[in-house]
Formats: sequence, C-alpha cells, structure tokens
Amino acid sequence: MRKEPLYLLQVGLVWLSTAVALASFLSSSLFSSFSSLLQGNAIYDLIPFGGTLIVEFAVAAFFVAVVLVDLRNENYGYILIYNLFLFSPEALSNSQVNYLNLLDLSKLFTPTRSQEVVIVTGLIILVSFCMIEFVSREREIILRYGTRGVSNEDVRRFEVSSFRYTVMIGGSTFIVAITLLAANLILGYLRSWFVMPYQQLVLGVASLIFLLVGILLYMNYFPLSRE
Amino acid sequence: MSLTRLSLNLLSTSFILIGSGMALGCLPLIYAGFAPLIFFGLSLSLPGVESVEIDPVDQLEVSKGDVVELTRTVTFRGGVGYVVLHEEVPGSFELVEGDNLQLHVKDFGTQRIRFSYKLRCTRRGVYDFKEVSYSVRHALGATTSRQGVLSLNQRIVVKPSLASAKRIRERDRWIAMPQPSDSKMQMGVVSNDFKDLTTYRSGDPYKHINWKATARATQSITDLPIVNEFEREGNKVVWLFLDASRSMELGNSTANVFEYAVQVTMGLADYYISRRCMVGFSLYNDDGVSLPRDPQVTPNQVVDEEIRGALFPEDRTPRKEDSTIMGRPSFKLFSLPPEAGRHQLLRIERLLQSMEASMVSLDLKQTLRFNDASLGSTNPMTFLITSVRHNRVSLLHEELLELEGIHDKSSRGKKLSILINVQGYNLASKTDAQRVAAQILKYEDEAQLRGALTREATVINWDPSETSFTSKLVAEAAQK
Repeated sequence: MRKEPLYLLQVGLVWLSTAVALASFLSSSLFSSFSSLLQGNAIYDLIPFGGTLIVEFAVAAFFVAVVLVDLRNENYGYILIYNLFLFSPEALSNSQVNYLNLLDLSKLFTPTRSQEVVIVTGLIILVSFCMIEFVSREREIILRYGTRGVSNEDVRRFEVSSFRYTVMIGGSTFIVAITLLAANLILGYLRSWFVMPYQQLVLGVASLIFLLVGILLYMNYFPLSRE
Repeated sequence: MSLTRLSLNLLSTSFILIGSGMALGCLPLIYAGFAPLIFFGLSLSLPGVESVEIDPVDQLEVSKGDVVELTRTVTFRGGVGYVVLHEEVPGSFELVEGDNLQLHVKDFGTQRIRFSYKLRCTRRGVYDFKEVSYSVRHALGATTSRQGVLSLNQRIVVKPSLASAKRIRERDRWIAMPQPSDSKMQMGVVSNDFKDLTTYRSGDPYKHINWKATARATQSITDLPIVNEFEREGNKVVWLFLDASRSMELGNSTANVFEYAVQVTMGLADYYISRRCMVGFSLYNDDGVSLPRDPQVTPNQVVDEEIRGALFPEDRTPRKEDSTIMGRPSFKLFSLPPEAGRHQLLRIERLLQSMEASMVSLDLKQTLRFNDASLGSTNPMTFLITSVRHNRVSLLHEELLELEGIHDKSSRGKKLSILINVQGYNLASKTDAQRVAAQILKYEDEAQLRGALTREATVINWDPSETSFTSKLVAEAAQK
C-alpha cells in the first residue's frame, strides 16, 4: 500500500465525499419514492429483513464499487460527477422554483432534511473535489520531478509541504463557507427577533461596524494612560 | 501571471454550479458553487516567491580526473512556493555526488540556501558554467510557473593530467626508463647535479660510488657497486609527436583515446623535463593532408598568443579558416621547438588545453618537414603517441622510416623511436560481445605491429582500461 501523505489525503477525501453524497441520496425523497415502489412488488415480500435496508445497501455497494474502480484507475474527475449525481435529488428538493410541478413530479422532490444540512453536504463534496484535484496535480508533478532526477529527500519535502498547503487552504475554504452560512442564519434569527425593517437592520449593522472600528482606532492611537 | 488549467477548471465548476443554482432557485447549489471560488481565492492569497538571487562564484582550475565540488548559494525573497534550480553540466563532466537539479520548498520570509554537487572532470578544456536556470512555482499551482536564469559566469579550466612517473619508487625501474642516451648533448661535461643511482660500469670514477646505497643493495659478493650518476651539462633532446586525427576520438563520452594520449604526452614531457632534457612537441593528423613540396607553401606557426588563445577560446570547434586563408592553402603547425625547463611544460599544457582531435591539418611527414630545422641537428629520441589501426600499419611504417631519417647515421639500428599505441577498443565497448570483439581487434593490431615495425621502433601497446600508463611503461622497460 502506498503511504505517501498526499495519496492518503486523496483517498480519505474521496471516501468522505462519497459517504456524504451517498447519505444525501439515501435520505432523499426520490430514493424513498423508489424504495416505496418496491413495496407493492411481489419480490419485496421475498426479502426477509426489511426491503429498504437491503436496497440502501445495494445502492451503496454499487457506488462504492464504482469509486473503487475509479480509485484504481486514478479517475478522480468522475468521482465529482457521481457525487453531484447522488447529491442532486436532495439539492433539487430545496429548489425555490417549482419547475417540477409543471411536470407533476413535485412529490418526488420534497425536502427531507433541513436546508443547512444539505448546504453543508454540498460544501463537503465541492471542497473535497477542489482538494482532490489539487492533490492529483501535485502527485503528477512529484512523479515528474522523480523521473527528472530530483533527490528523494527533496521530493519528500515537497510532498509534505503540498499536503500542508492543501489541507490549510481546503480547511480555510470550509471554515469561510460555514462562517458565511452561520452568519446568514444568525442574521435570519436576528431579523425575526427584532421584527425590524430590513433597511433599518442594514443601517444598524453598518453603524455597529462603524462604531467598532472607531473604538479600535481610538484605542490604537490614543491608548489609555496608566494613571 | 496567468492561471493554470486547474484554476480555470475550478472557476468554471463554480460558475456552472452558481448559474444552475440561480436558474433552479436552489440555495444549496449556489452555496456549493461558492466553495471552489473561495478555494481559488484563498489559493491566490498565498503570495508567490518574489525574487531569486545567486551569490557570485570563483573561477576554478583543476586537472583532468579531479573531482571538483561546485557550491552555490541562492537567496529566495518574499512569498511561499517551490523553486526548481537546474544547472547545465557539460557532457565531459561526470556527476559524482549530489544533484545539479534541485527542488527547494520556500517558506515565509527570506530564505538562503546553499547546495553543492561534485563533478569529475573527464576531459581537458575550458568550460563556462554561465547560468543557473530556475522555475518558481506557486504553493498550490494556482498560477503558472515563472521561469528565469541566474547569471553565474563560472569558468572551470581543466588542465591535462600527467601520467606521472614520479610515483615509481624502485631504483631499478627508474634506471630502466628509456633515456635519450644517443642524443647529441650526451658528451657534455659532468655537472654536480645528481641525476640517478646506477650500477657500476667500467670506467666510472671510484669517487662516484655510493657506499651507503651499495651496502644496502648488495646481496652477494658478485654484485656490482652502486654509483651516483650526475647530469651532464647541455641537454638531451626528446621529441613528442601526438596524433590528433579523428580516429583518436574512439571511446565513450567521458574517456577517449585522445584524452589518454594527451595524458601520456604530459606525463612524458614532465618526466623528461624533470630529467633536464629539452622537449619538443608537435601535433599531427594521421588523416591530414599532404602538401606538395612547394617552398611557397608554409604553415602558420602557432605562436604564444595563439597558445594563450587556445586556453580561453571563444569558439572551441575546429575553425575552417585554419585550412584556407584568402583562397590559398594555409595550415597551422601546432609545434613547439625543443626547450628545457618548466615553462616548456606549461606551454605544452596550454597548447593541449583546448585541443580537440581533428583540429590539426598536417600529417606526420609534413610536420617533420616543417620542423626539420629543429630536428635535424639534435638526433633526438622520439615518441610517437597514436592509436594504430590495422589498415594504417603500412602508412605508419612509412612515417617511422621518415622519422628514422632525422636520426644520425651512427645511431641507425638503435631504436630511437618509441611508438606508444593507445588502444581504445575497450573504451568504446559496452556489451560483452563488443568486449570480445575489442580483444580480437586489439590482438590483431598488436600482431600486425609486431610483424611490421620491429626494426623501426620500440612499440608499447597500452590499453587504458586495463592498466595505468606508468605501470605499463615500467613493465615494458623492465622486460627490456
């Protein structure tokens, strides 16, 4: 087994995003509709231990097998497509435009989990995708340096450094995105709490920021005397 | 600064997701679409390495075969990322230790790194290490790499090495080395300068007997005493003729026959100059042209300025204008008339510094003709350093007869010429089959030489891949 930190990071991210996407798919209303179709079927009666569990297991096993094949062939680009495919039913369930109603499919796409959970799922998939893409490229470069005659010690340092930067930027991206989401949620709560017009809220926040900046500047340029 | 394909992929993924999220009124897709955009923005926030500088280095002068350590100190300023440094190494250097391709991780702040690598100088010449090329890469490869060169301008002068005879410790072997005893200057007055120890010969003065050496060396009562031999005033003359034809390039990229022939030439010159002989030196080309016996056609003698020019040439390739000037044939004669002293050794060394096989245009006959004035009166001992091919033995025979012509009638029959045949077949062999073929060719050449040249010259066949020249010469001399 290859023990390079970048490879381990890449595999870890692939499984994390796949697991999150699978969980999203299995909890979507589309999958529920699909499994309920089976309930009316005669085959369903033959399955001894709860048919839904078996179907969930079969779907998960199928996608795990697909990911294993792609990991073996190092086709990391496809993994994003599979994960987005698995994520799309739950994402579409949160659509505000009722296109699906026109097709009379609105029952297939109804939200089952909270919107925040779906957003976090999407963020995990996309941040993992970004990191996987960068790591793949770094590993290609490491291979190229190796064939050009760069010493193993230098390659090792490059690898550790790439690992560090990828984790740092990936982690920061996730934190920034979650912070934006949390800020949005907090603002929503504040809005409902104060029952205040939106314009006043914006002005209030701007004033608050202005006040904070003013205090900071004052403390910076006119420090309090010890007396 | 331009974006890499990967960055553009991220941006396009981001816009597709945000676009489809907006079209479908789907907040999770819009949020997810922002993730690659944030990732890309944060990647760009990592500043790239701003500048790369290299410290100046000294010129180096080394001998062929030496291992030289090249040390570089490079300073990286600003930003983070990776710097790849690469220095072009001429093909005639062999990398012994370290790497000329370096990959460095640059962290925040100014970073000063020092790296070195060791090279073995396998060929003579003047080599310019002009620059170190570098490539600065973004920490996450978000932008394209920046390429550049750092001016270095380090000149390495690789002098020819000596096949040194100084290492021979045994007295008998010293004595057995061929000496120019029949040279004209042997009748000079004996000086007080000690030359060597030798066994007593009838007529030697008793005062020259070295009693301590005799006591040490004597094993039986019949042993002759050891006497001190002293230099005679006036110097004996030795001429070295080095073949610089294209066939001397037989070998591999790091070692060829010409390199070894130069080594032998320098070794012999050093030996005889240290024995206070006058050493003359000439280069010839066995494949060269034969000029008509026209007194109007004279070669351009290589003068000191040109020897200096050979030390630091602008262009090391053979020059066409050497053979024609203004439409008239004009040939450079690479020749140094006999002189004694270390400065002559230095002149030979400089002449050979950047000399390549095939830069010489005159064959041996022409060379002898143009050196007639220096050769004729001295009855010198002559060395012919070449690589004999079986199809050129008859030509070599003619050349040796020509060479014999410069010697006195009194010394005819005495072999005053020594032919050193540097055998390069093994140097050019890579596989076992080639090595077997090389052995066959070698024995074929030796057999032909034994048959054809036994009268004209003492032949020393030397295969550099098997033994050192000193050992070979001493072994040959001891056999005699």
